[in-house]
Amino acid sequence: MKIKMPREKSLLALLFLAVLGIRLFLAFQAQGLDYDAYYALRQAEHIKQAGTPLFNDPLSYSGRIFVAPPLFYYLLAGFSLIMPLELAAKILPNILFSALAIVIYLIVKHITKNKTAAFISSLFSAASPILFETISQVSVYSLSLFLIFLLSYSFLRLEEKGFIALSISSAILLLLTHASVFILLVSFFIYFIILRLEKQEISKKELETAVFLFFLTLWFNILLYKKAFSLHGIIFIWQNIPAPLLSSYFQDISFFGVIYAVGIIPLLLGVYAIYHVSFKARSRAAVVFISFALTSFIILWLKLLPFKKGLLFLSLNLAILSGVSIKSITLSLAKTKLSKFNWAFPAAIIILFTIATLPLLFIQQEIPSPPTEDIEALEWVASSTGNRSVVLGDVKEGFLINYVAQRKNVADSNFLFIKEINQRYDDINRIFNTRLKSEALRLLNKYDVDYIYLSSKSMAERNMTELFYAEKDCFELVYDKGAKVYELLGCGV
Amino acid sequence: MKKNKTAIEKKEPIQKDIWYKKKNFLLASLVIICLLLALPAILRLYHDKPAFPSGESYYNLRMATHLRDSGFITQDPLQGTEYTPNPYHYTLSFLLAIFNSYSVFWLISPLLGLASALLFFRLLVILGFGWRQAIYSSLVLIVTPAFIVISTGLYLSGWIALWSLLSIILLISEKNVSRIFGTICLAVLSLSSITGFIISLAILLSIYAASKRNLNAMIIPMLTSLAAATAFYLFLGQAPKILGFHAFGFNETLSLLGASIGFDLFLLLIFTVGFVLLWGKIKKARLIHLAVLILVALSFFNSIVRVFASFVLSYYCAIAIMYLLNRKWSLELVKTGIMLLVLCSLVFSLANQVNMVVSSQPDSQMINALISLRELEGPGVVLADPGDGFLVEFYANKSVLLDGNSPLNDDYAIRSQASIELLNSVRIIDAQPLLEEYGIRYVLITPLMKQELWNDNERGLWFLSKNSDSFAKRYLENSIEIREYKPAAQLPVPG
Repeated sequence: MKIKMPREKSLLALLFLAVLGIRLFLAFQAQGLDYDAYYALRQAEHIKQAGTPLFNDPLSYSGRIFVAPPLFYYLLAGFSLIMPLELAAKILPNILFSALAIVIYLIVKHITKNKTAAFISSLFSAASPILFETISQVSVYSLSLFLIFLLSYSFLRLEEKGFIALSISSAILLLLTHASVFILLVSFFIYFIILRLEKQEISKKELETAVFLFFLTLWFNILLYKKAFSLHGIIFIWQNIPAPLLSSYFQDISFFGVIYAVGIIPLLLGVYAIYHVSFKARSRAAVVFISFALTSFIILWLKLLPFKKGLLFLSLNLAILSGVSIKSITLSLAKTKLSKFNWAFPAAIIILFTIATLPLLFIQQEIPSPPTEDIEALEWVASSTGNRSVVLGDVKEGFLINYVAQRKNVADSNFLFIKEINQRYDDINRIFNTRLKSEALRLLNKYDVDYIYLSSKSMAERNMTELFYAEKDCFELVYDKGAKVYELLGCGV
Repeated sequence: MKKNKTAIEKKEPIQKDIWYKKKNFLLASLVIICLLLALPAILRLYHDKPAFPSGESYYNLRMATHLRDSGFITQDPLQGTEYTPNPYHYTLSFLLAIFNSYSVFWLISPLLGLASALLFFRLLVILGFGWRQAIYSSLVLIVTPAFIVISTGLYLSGWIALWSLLSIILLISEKNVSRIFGTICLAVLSLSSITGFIISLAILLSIYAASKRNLNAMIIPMLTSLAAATAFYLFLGQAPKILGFHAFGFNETLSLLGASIGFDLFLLLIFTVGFVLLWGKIKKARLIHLAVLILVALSFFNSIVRVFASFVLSYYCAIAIMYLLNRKWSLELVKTGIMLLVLCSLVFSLANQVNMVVSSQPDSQMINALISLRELEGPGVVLADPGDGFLVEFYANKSVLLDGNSPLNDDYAIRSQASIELLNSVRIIDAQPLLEEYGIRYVLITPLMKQELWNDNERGLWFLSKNSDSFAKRYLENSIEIREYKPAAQLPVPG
């Protein structure tokens, strides 16, 4: 069925602007940014000042090294040249997530040759609930997902002029962004295996490109992460996350979790597409994304990727495969007596999707950003304490302490290269929860802590209003406006 | 007749041309090999460091010195442990006796390396591989981490590799004179290392089997070597030691992760490509390739086998590189990318290993500290990091609790446990029994120990030795500390 619509590009631009508008609206409704966003802000700030990313950080863990591909932070720093950094941090990731819809559209249009199916798929991808959870995040996945799907699109069109260069340049940019490109490369090899099993010829260009990109990625990531691998061994894949936190990062796959994240309509259509392509109609291009979806699922199942990040990949792939289903169902309907009502099917899909998914996006979700009083407390710390002070806060507040207060922290949520992280994490929790002053002092002296930052968020989560052992001989409450800051008065053990 | 003559006359200049090209290519390769082998030593000297990096080189130098002075020993004079004399140490002591200077050894390692590379090239040519393949293999060989290590220090593995190649080349010759010399070389090898001897024998027998030679020709060399080794060990009254074995660990086998004699991961990938290519090519040769695979697998557990495997690896890498170069690619851009990647891998392998050699201890600060330790009077064992053990023995002329040879001793597990307990002790009451038991008199604390063991926080023995009355500061410069242990009552007043 052909929807009579304005020019294709106008519609696409409209979708992009609509998604961007909604995302920015929701982003600016939240008071701050996600806790981990402050790491990105520090990196971007350092790039603006020094021209290079922050490799040796004197503040995080009171001194540690960072290893991460820097392209996203350079982009953020570049944006912040024309606007304040925190504003750029809200705008840039949302632009990139919104631009994904355009790439998804191009992919589905290439696979199905059907603009309606492509448009619906890009709508699914743009309005995916899991994608909307990233609104307040200054996430490197915004750029990496865009580049990964751009790479997969250029891979589909390798036989055409210009797309080889596009695929190689996307891959190089991806290497400088995030290691998640491995998921796509592994899916390429699953794609080749599927073709072999179906006794289809593997394109020489595709094979050569995939092999080259695989070795290039392997080489680059080995160089980048060799120290992490040397220090942590194979568990560096799990980012040296402390054991108590592992289950929250790497969750078991639950059916309802996937439905909530992806949406029931894209899930059903995506699964139907897998069945349809596997048993009925052959489509090489669709097989690429079936392989990609399969790889994402396996990686999630094996807990090699944090749960929510894995769901991002899965939901986008299912959105793409939905387009294949929509096209095939539309074609099937066209052959029946209901062909007059062919227009109704896409309309029904859109309506059903809207009913099922959009309300979830407008329900006030608790965006995990620091409250104003917590930030004000840290601003006070920045102006009223010594430059070399060590401030103890909750692990998730570590980057906040570094960025807002410009002080050393004891721990934050980047755990790579940190030795004995489990011990450190346990110690921090004990400092907050213990009732014994001697125990607290021993641990505080172990980490050379000068100030304890008890945020309003921490107090609410731990169900406490003050530190139990904070007696006046050893602790002074130097700030108390919502959040609390205690100064250690040099008591020994 | 005239036509044939013309054809021959035309052929001669072409053959001469090819010969000149081969000669120039070989000369250029030799120059590159010499430069690359000399590079680590030059860089170390430029940074005011001794030419040899920390480790086995200093043990070999020390034993050569003892042999020069004593002639024949069966016990390590410093450590008191069992010592098996071997031809390598005697050769070093002979050179030391003639030249009376350690500087002569700066030339020995690169010369041994160059000789090994040339012998490897010669062996490949004799075995029928093309000269181009042979040269490429030699060039890949010089960027393998294991080869760089054995060519930039006095390592027994380097000696073994040289004699092994010599034995193989001589024993596959048909000439009787060569075979006699080959038998002698094999016997020398059997006296130097049982592991090297077994591997060389296995390689020889494989070559004989693959080229369908008469295996009986190997009986005399084999029996001669076995007889020499048996007589030698019976005379000494010692059991032969199979050297080089260790538990599997990526840190032990990959140079990227700091292995002292390791593989480069990228070269392993290229080797895999070459292996797959050759496996598919000739079915009859699959048994040989299988044997190679077993050799590589075994090399993950033994450092001497790893040296041999590096030679084999370079051949497969050369095959892979030549295939990638000559293949008809459908995408020129991808071909360029792949060749750049291969080149970067080779350069990185070289750069990484050279960097490890150049940046490793000892530096002038460490040497100054060890010389100060030497000047301290009184016998006593030094507690130091096992990696610095040989350095302490060589420069300070004092025995250590643990050194690189300790894993060969029966009491290694107990000593290792004692070392860990001592380094973690914060109370003298806990440390004292162990200090007394092993006669430890000195503690050497280096910046690396402070960082690795105690995260730059004064903890464990560092804290104890600094704050306890039972320890006296004897040296503290550039973050290197030497503390002398004596029970408090006996501690002399400094100065």
